[in-house]
Amino acid sequence: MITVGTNERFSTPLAAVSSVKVVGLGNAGLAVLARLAGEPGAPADLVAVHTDAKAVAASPAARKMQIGHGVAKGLGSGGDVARGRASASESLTDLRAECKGVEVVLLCAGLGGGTGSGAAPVVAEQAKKSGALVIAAVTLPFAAEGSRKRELAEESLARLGRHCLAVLCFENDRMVEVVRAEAPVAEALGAAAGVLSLAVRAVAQMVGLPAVMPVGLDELLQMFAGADARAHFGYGSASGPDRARLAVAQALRSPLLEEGKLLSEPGRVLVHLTGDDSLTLSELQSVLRRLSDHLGPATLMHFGVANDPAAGGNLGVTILGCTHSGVPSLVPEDEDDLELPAEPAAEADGPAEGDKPGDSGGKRGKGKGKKNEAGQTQEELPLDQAMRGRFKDLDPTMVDGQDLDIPAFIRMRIRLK
Amino acid sequence: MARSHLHVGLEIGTSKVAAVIAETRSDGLLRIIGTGEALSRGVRKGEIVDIGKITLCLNEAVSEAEEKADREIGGVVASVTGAHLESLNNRGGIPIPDDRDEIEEEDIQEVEQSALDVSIPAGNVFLHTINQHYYVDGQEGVSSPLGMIGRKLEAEFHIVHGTKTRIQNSLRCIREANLKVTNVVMSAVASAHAVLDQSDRESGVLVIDIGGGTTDFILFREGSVRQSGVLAVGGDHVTNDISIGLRVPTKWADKLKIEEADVVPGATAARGTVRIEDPTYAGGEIERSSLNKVAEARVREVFVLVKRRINFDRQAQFVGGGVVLTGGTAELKGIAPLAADVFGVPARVASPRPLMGPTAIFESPRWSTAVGLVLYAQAAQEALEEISVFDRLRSKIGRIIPGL
Repeated sequence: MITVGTNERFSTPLAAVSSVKVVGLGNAGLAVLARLAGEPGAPADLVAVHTDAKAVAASPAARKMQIGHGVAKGLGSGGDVARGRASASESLTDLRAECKGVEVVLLCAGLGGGTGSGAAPVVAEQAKKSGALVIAAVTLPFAAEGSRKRELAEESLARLGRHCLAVLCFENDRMVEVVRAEAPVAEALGAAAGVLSLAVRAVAQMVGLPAVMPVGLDELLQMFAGADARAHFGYGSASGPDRARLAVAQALRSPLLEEGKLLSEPGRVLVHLTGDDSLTLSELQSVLRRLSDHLGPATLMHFGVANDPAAGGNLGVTILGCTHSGVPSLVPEDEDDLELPAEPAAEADGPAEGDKPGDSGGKRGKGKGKKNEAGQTQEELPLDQAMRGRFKDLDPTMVDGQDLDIPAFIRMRIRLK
Repeated sequence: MARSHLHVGLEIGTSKVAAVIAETRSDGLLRIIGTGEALSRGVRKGEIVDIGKITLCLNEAVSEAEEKADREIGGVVASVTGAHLESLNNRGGIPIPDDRDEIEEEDIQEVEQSALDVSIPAGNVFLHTINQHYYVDGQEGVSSPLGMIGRKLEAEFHIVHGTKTRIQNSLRCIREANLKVTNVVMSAVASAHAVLDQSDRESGVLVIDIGGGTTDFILFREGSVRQSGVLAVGGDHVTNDISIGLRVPTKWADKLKIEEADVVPGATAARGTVRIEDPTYAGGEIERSSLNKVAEARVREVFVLVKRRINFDRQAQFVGGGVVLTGGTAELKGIAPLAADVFGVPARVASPRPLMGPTAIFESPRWSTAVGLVLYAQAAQEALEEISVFDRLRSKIGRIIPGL
């Protein structure tokens, strides 16, 4: 899911940005930084931000910032959103100074915890005030972590949306689908951090590398203009003579794209290729042709190519998709409030009414609307792999975004006795 | 044409491997002298996924045909299919040199070259370049421009291309079976040779060959190929849908498809049930309406997709011969009325045109591709013998697929 703050508008196209800073916030954010630091071709400027002095010290990030000395006393925020927020508020000037002169700030955090949920909107706001464009990549807690945590996360998400150009929002539950059910917890959580770090790196490259065929922030923005619902992300990278095919296949396998199926829904898709000088026109065509089979008739594709001298023969394919739910974005327009969000009591009945467009429940309405739509999609397209029967091990036959290997009567929703 | 020629067609399909040996006798007539068939394994949706397995099947089919014909064969004409095949039409044009007015052989060659100057994806090779017609000084519908007077010669070609590696896979398993490939033909082109005569092609016709794993289609207008392509959906999908929809094992789904399913429009309202007569299976009864709905939904979709792919609505008025269905899945009950319903033109199921030889294969649409291959080979042979030595040097297939 990606949501976009609706109050950001750019009238002039933006050139490739020269400075991108990745800010990791809280435990989840630091885990992403740790992954990025170990990877070649990752953005160089990493900033670790946490209330926990030990965690900050242990981070491999080049820049480290401990926030909330007074409030948190060098410990974690203990899952307390208010403390997370207060910690960030205490370090406002430091945060602003850190983002000074940076064109794009990529903020990554896990929502639902204290530091992530509480501090992320503040950090985003300060980054924005210092003149940077802010893109956030955040995770939502596992469903098993309880509904209260989910509510906190969604509240934070809505606040975050006001200060960010775009919020790439990932469900932890979806991200760990790549992992075997019996895998150790550490592996599952590692996979979630892995997906997030890929997304962060891809966006950093998209906006930061010299573009051969530019797709930059302006295109990102245009694509998400009025974006009112969810979006999807997939990334693949491969080398060798068959790299175009392999990279696309890998990108489509991303759990966040539901095997590429989500691309068939009406909306916009942004495809970004990175490669060194060995990237040829025919490879570009090959990637686009392969992807176009997965696009629905009402899907619009934008694409761009960036030159990454450090790619080392690798072709990277990033797919960012966005689908519109038709429900207008309900992020409240009141900016820059540092007060706590409306008290939970006022929203206790949110889930029942939250779906209605224009619901005064604001951010809660938005959150619920998204969730429900995702739920519906799953109901409509159940368990594909099982539905493909004898074709389950073969490449799908995609036409107009439909997998023809899935029985026709199921796709046409023909009722049998 | 004094010698008799042996032509061997080899179809490597998703559900079967079929070999047909035919002989052109000294009187020029083609006679089928041997056929062989084996269940296909290692092919999915028309493409080879297991060379080891398919080579065994291939040996089996070829040996059977050799035995029946009492001949040993060396070279075969093979069919290829698969969703990787694509087609396009392209027009090339050249000016006739100032020092003469009459169109000569070299101009015809040159215009073909210019028409072939199209960009196809890297890794793809040309499979067919089929001349549609020529234009002399913009005048349409010239079939043989040689000797005509004009200043400008143009030609329109239907070009079929496909992924080189996938075509090579077909060729490789044939070579593994110690056979030589003399020619490679798109399945749809072969099938059309088997089921159509010249008058069908002239009046315009759409041939749809529905096999096990693919649906191959080719559209003729005014005697020449206008469109062709492959959809990687076939009878196996019908079986799979039945298996999933009615919760029966594949073996039964296949039997239900062949013996009971009826896709004629309206059959979805059929009453009654089908009993599965199998002591080892306690599944009981299947609703006829459900069976028909599942099968009809799939086959109708195939037709709708083909129709859309070739923009049939714009061509319908030029397709006086209607839709001709062939291939194993064309044996499905009610398929012709369903095609007529979708395409809005008459439709019929066709088996190969009768030649001399065992009659059984001319009574089933399953043999169209294999029979079409020998007809294609014969036609190519005749063309080769009739045209000049100069032309032979540019023997199409040799150039089109290098390293054959």
